[in-house]
Amino acid sequence: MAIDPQITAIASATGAAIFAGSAAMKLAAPPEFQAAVESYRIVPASMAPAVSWMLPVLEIAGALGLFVPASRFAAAALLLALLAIFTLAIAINLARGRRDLDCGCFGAMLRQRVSGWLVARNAALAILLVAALLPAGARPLDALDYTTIVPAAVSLVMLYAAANYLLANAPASDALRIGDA
Amino acid sequence: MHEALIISQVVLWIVVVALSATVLALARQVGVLHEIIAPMGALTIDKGPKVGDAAPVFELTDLNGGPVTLGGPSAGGFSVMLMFVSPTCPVCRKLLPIVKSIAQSEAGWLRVVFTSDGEAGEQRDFVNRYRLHSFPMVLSGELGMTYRVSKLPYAVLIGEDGRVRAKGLVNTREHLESIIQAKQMGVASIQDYLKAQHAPAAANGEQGGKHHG
Repeated sequence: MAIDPQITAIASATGAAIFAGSAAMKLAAPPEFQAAVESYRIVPASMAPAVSWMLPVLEIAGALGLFVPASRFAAAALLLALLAIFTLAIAINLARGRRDLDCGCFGAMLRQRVSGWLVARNAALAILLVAALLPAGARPLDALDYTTIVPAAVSLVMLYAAANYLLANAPASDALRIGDA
Repeated sequence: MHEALIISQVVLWIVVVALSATVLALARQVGVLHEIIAPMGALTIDKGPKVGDAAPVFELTDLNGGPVTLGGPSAGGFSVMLMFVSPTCPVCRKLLPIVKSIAQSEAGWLRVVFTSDGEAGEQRDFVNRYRLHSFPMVLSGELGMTYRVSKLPYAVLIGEDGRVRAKGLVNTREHLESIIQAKQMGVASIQDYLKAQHAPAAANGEQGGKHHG
């Protein structure tokens, strides 16, 4: 199934910006991200330093790969695999009943507690990556396409950031509500 | 007709981008507001012994077997800052040097006690790795339960009279300083301080503290 290349371009640009951004935030604070990897208690603590470098590097590789048509499929597949690993790690800890765990999704930039909402957010990202993964139609893109592609990608990235702020703020907002009652 | 569609397309995208930026700014502002209205940490949950109440008395031993008494009037007139930490909490690690520097600068009236729960070996590694040898480290799940600590790092300041003076989630130097400040100004929290400012008649008593924004 081929989808319109405009959709492919929007999905690739948005996915690349989101993963490059989150990788940059993880790499900006290596000790915090390493501690986040440890706190998931999925990999042995001895492997945490290696894993905490590898994950953001793979994210950046995937983000760059999305821009080149030849590597788009492989890059989207790589990012989908990473996303599946992250989501599984969150789901395992939710199943363990650990709801106070810090997601670590954005390093030290934004503290989000793991919750079902993060799983839902990752599912939305997966849909985006699937759109980038599917073969694109042969229609050549013209200037009018780009008047949609650029603002659509910019809007989606901003909305993604807004959703993450809301998720980070949710526990504090809930605490206020309990305080009022 | 075609031209009108193109123009409307461009106009609509400008509106969508502007709306997305507005939503992002609003979501960000909610976080900023939380920081302002809850200076002790956005996730402070008011459970456990209240500020002003007598702290429950605990007779505990630290990792090296030394006795640690928490609560009750202090013999040397020292206040105690109880720091709830864990080897697996990222923010705790970042906060440790700050706690050490505060312990040093406030050594005249303050003692810092670290507490954590879990395996003793793990805690010893933690103490070695972050050079916390000069502080008592107490292993106790009961302490955390009594103070209803659900988020780390969490600080409880017990005054020299054995009463809880301030407490809260401490993520930054500012949060820690606000705990110290709250004790020095004799108010339970910045919120109480602001309330007292609005009712100046009641607030003129013992407040010699400086303004802390």
